[in-house]
Amino acid sequence: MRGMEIEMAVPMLQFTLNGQAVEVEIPADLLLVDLLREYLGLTGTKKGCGSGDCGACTVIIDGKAANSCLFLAMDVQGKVVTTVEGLGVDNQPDTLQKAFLAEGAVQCGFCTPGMLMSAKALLDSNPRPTRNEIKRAMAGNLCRCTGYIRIVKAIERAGGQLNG
Amino acid sequence: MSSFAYLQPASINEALQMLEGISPRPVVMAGGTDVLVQIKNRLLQPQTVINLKNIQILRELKIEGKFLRIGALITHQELSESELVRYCAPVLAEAASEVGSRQIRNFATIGGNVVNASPAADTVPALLALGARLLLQSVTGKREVAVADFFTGPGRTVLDPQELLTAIRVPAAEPGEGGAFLKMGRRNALAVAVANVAVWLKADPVTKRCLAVRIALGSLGPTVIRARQTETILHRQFLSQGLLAEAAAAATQDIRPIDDLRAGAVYRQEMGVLLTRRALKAAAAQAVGV
Repeated sequence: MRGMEIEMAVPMLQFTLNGQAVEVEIPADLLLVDLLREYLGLTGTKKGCGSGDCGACTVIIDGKAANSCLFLAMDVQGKVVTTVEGLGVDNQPDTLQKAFLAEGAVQCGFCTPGMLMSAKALLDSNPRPTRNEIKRAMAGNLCRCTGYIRIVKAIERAGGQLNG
Repeated sequence: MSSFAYLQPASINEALQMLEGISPRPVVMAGGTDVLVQIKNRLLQPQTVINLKNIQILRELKIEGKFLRIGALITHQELSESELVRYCAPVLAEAASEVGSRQIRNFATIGGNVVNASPAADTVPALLALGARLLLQSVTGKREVAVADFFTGPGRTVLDPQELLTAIRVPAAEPGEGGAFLKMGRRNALAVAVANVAVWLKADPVTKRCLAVRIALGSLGPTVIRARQTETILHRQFLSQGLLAEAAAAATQDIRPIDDLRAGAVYRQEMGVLLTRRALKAAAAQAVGV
């Protein structure tokens, strides 16, 4: 079967993003992180390393935390995607965001969207994680500022583990 | 990245026809966590990419007689959480849980980990210690290759350009068997191993005589290595703490690590022996309480 014909049609991507249906025409080699940031203007998701080694680009796909820098946009076809913009807004922050603020878990803020998404994916499947479970779930997100302690406390707080 | 044609076959046969019929050979992708990095770094510059994700039969996870059959698309997270895998091949579940990070494990597949053939791959020592067999398929037929015979060098395997890895068969655990997997890296996650070790052993529960043992060492040579000297010392002997320590020390003869940016050769040599000792102790304790 030499010389097999390949369809070069530009694919139309349809998926659910932060609760809304999205339809967009994209090239096959577009990465999800670039779809979100460049095509859709959602710059909450950050680019830290481009190789899945830092977690700054973390989003949630069908309930699972994912590195959007290592996901082809075409591969969210028919899926449910949540980014940090889907968590809460300035005047109505999400429980996790409130906990991060209350615990002082944000310094430069660059890792924070990725941290929030990994934490949300964790709490959605395990609402009251232990400290060790939190550390394991968050191990794919690096922070250069905080030393992680307050981030872990914030997630414990959001999971109802702390008083107040 | 420069543009490529993106194909998503719905069956193994369709994928194999594409591999056979498209030139230059397409790049095959599953979870994408290795392939996309390589495309970004221009190590791979494909004109065509084939994604296997729609081929449902590659997601089978089931018992077949005395074996556990694992489809190539099973993710590391699925392996680490599956009660079937934790019961039938616990060493593999442990190894899979050490790969990368949660984000990586959610999508990276065991088929991809094996075919990518990094000398530091975490699932490979576990598969070797368990005596796993790899199922390969092309348009001309199927063949089964032992993990021990699959890797030929860093990133290199006996997989033909027109072949796909479709599944892995692992002998299911039986009483009197124990195992352990240990990984040493520069951090607790997102770490390429400096050394990783998997042990599987089978012993008589009454006499504590070692009936069979396989010790696999990763990141300590161009491909995964069997600690043959260690295994010889243990084989058919009565297990004791002293014997395990003596056997572990012999592992140093089988490993040939290199200096690289993660660790020096001398350190890796010592860590290979240390992890072997600890993994042997854990496996013997699990198998027959020694």
